[in-house]
Amino acid sequence: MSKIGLIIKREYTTRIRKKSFIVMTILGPLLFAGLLFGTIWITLNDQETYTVLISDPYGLVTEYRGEQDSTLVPRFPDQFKDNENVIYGFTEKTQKPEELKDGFYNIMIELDEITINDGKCNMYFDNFPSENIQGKLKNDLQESLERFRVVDSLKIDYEKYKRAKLDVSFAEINVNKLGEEDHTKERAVIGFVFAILIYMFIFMYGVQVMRGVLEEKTSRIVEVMVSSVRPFQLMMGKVVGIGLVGLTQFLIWVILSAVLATFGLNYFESHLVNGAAVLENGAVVANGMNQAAMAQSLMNNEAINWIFLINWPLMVGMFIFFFIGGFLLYASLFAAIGAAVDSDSDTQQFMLPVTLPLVFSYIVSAMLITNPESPIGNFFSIFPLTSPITIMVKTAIGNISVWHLISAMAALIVAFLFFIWLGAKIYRVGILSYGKKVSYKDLWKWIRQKN
Amino acid sequence: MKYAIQAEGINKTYGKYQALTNVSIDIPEGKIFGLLGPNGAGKTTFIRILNQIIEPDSGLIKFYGNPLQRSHVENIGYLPEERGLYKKMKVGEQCVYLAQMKGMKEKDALTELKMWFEKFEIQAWWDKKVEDLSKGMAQKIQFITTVVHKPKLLILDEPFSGFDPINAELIHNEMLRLRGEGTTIVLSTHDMGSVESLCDNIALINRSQVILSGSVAEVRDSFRTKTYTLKFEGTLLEFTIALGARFELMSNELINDMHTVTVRIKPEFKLNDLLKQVIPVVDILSAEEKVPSMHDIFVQSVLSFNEAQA
Repeated sequence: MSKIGLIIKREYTTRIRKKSFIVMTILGPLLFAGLLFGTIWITLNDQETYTVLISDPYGLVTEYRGEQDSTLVPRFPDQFKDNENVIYGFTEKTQKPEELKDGFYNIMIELDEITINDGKCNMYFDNFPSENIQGKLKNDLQESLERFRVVDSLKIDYEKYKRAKLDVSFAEINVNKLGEEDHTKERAVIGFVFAILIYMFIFMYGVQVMRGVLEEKTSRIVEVMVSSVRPFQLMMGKVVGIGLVGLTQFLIWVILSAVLATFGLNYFESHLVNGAAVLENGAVVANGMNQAAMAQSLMNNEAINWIFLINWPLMVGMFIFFFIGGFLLYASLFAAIGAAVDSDSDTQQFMLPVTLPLVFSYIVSAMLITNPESPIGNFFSIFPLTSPITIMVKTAIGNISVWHLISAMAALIVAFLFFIWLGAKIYRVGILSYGKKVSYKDLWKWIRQKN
Repeated sequence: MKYAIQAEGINKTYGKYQALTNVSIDIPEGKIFGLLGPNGAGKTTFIRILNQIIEPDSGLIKFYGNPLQRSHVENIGYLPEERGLYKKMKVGEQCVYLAQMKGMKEKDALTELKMWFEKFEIQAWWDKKVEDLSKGMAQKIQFITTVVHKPKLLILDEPFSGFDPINAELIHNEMLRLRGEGTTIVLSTHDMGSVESLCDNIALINRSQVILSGSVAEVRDSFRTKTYTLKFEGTLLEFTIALGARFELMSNELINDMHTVTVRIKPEFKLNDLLKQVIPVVDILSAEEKVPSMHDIFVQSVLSFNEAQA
């Protein structure tokens, strides 16, 4: 085996055998899945119960239960239904907001005489309600007020009004791909997930390269090593070895995730089908209805078909190319940092210029989700320091020309060759320099220095 | 004479800093060569050039008669002053890896290493982690990894630092044995005692230049000052009168009625002439030439060179 092969092998095997690698590789997908389901679970379940007082002195949404019964009830029984998160109460008096603090209610919504015209009302709160809760409150109020306007003011049958009412939505169709809906946003999100993966791997394994170089330097093995191999071989051996560790971990994650996802989907499917069965039995509860709707949309091919609009072979190819290219580029810089300093704590001053473009490309990727054709996004999906991350979003959306891809790839190749060269220049001097705090000026000297 | 290394007119600068100035050093084959000099003189730079870790700005190096090239690293063993091992690796694994880096096949490396581990009686360490070794143990491992591939040229930078006397003796004897087998050894050290007991030739580098070189015998010869140490019984006054103008009394000491004096003789005279003068007046107990030690030669050369430059 060639010497660089031996170096790669050592870097690879010592890392693969580490307990931390094995633990992370197995726990990674579990953590990821846990995070995903945890977030969903939290948003669904972690809600306080709000007691909401509707103060309605003008009787816009409430009325007395009967002639002898002066209890206030909603005018339209479909609205203002209590659920596990919201309990409604009604009053016709105006209440002082201060009383909220110690009273039974923690939210008060005040309807006044203009509310019926402009839909505005004050919401007093002790605890700010979540988007979800606000949604329910607004929904209830809106429908009730609408009914009031339609039935009481315009004297139109509410059912007729509902039939007349229309929500406008777009089916997005790209003129270049007539005959199919585009689903740009959903695809962009998938691309963003890939972008995050590349971002994470470059960071995690780039820092490992830096640590590895620093360890060789501080343990003083490096001078023995460079008396046998060229510094460039040592650096590239480390970069490639660690890159392979990253790819290995990624592959295992993909396989494990696929297995987990299959199990997860099976589980969901059986539960959702139950929900649908409940619907057929006629025992419809609001909860069951939601599930049934979800189940139907999942079963309905069209709803999920957009996943196949993504050009997956291209996506996977791009992912591998930009993962490797981006890693080579950044890992050489991380290696140079590791070589330039004497201890972990000194790495900070050089980390910033390396992490900045990484973080920036993350931000641009997020922006591309809402604005896929942004010229800034287009530029940074070619600019090699940011392209490995941002281009994943564009590839997933598919609004990217062959020329765009080719120029991004070419730019990346040129850039990683340049940065490997630059990193190697700093590396070869840095690994043999001890005890001096290095400045950017020194780095510049090293770059220009002959061997 | 055959040479392992012939370095001619080597120059090396780091930015404005001149690390080596027109350095020419010839290292004879099969000998132990002492590379001496104060800290920062340029020894490490020269050693790194020999190891092709860095390249000289100008000058030529021949390795056993041929211009130094990349493949020669496999014929060189290098123990740097700043040395270490991969802490997380196992001892045996690490030794095999470093031997492979020097071009050995895994199988050959295992055979050779087994021999060395038996010789140093450290077989039990094979599966230990390097981080669990003491400093002395790690030094033994480092020495083994330096010599395991049977290099023709061995470069040892301060090999004895950190060793206890027992292990230092072990390394000392190994060096003599390897020389006996034809290995050329470059020894860079500040320990002048080991230079005297081991080295055949030396070069003294000071402020980037070679200021002294040659065989140890020649160098010491050139530093002889015709100074002799005499021990005698009698009176110092009569002894001093007998010396006259031809001989100069440098120092004297009286212990238990015995005088120990050092006397310098003018170039045109010999020890016999001195003895003829003093035998009549005192009882001579012994007389021997005061040969300069390598320590004295080192200090004297460096100081006089620095004075001349200042």
